[in-house]
Amino acid sequence: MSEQLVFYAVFLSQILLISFYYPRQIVGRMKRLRETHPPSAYPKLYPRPAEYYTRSRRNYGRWNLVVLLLGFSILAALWLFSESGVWAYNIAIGYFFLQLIPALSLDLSFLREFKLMRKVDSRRKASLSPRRLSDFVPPLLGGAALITYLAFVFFVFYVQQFDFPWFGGYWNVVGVTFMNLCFGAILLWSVYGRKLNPHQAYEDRVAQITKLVRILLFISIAATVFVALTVTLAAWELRNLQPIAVSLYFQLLAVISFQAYRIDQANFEVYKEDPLSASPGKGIAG
Amino acid sequence: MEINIDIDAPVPLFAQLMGQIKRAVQHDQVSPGDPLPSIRQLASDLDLNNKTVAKAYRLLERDSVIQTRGYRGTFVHPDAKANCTIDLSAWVTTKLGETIAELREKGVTDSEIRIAFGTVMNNRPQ
Repeated sequence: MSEQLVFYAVFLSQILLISFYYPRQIVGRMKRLRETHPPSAYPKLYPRPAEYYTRSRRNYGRWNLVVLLLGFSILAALWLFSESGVWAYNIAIGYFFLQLIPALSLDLSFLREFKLMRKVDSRRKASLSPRRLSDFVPPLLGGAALITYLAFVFFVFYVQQFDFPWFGGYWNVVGVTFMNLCFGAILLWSVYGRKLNPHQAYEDRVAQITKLVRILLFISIAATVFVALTVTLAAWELRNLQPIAVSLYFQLLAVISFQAYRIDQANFEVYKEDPLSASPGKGIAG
Repeated sequence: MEINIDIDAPVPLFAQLMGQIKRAVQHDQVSPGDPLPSIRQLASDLDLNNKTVAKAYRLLERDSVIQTRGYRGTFVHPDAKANCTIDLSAWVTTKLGETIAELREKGVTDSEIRIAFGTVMNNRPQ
């Protein structure tokens, strides 16, 4: 019973953190950005009419409100039917993916904005400094991620000898390896891939890549540890704690991922009207 | 050091790129031996075709402004600053202008010059 109550509290925290607190923070940042960097002074930041941004901000808020209310309904249903265990575990996972939808739609809208920025402005900027993967991966964190992965492989080999009927065996290694390969692909794409925001200053891009690489490494470690923890809880017959662990894990992911939305240090001067943009080709030495 | 190109400008993209890199060398924004981004990185950052950047790099290498050191990457040539002053495009334009003026003086029509130019260019050794 006490585990059930703890799960309800943790799940409530998941609902409030991901569908209320962070969306409020993001909407607040969007509003502040609009006030401190208005379209009149930073026209390149707003390739669409002002109403579009107000509408999309409102839609983002509404989507989160819907998910928030749905979360409360799910929590009430769990409470009424005294559900925990496998059901609660699956619900916490399913609900988390639902919570991701507004954030993903926001990210997609950013991508559309960048595409429009590229279309509107014919000028392109790039740095003459080469980028290398090794410049962005902190040796300590990279090493920690590698050691965590290797330790997980040994852990699976160790658990395998007990012949638990529920244990997926080497499929756990396959799953975690695939997940890390996906993270690796995102990491490579962020370092060597296309520049999405055509106006972004090089220093900002470097800072963004550094932040993303750190976030991915943290998530890789957290995900690997979480899978090992799930297996350990099952092995110790503590499955009732799994829903609590999964909910806490998602909240940890949200806290880590939210760092990607920080734009306090960004250089907004690049979004001001460029006097050279009126005369294409100017300033090119030949 | 940041380079800017304009995809709508009448100047070809590879020429803009070459000009920007030469200017960076002339203004000491990059020094001899400095590493340069890979073709792929520059093409991704500028949203250009890899072939455009490769062409600019090839011509800069021909002019000894940059040098490729196998898998280690591309670097600014030790004599880049001196070599930047040699503008082969401008030299070719001047040379062709002089030749065309001489041909016109001899009474050769523009049409005949174009045909002859095309023939010579098409028959050039590969």
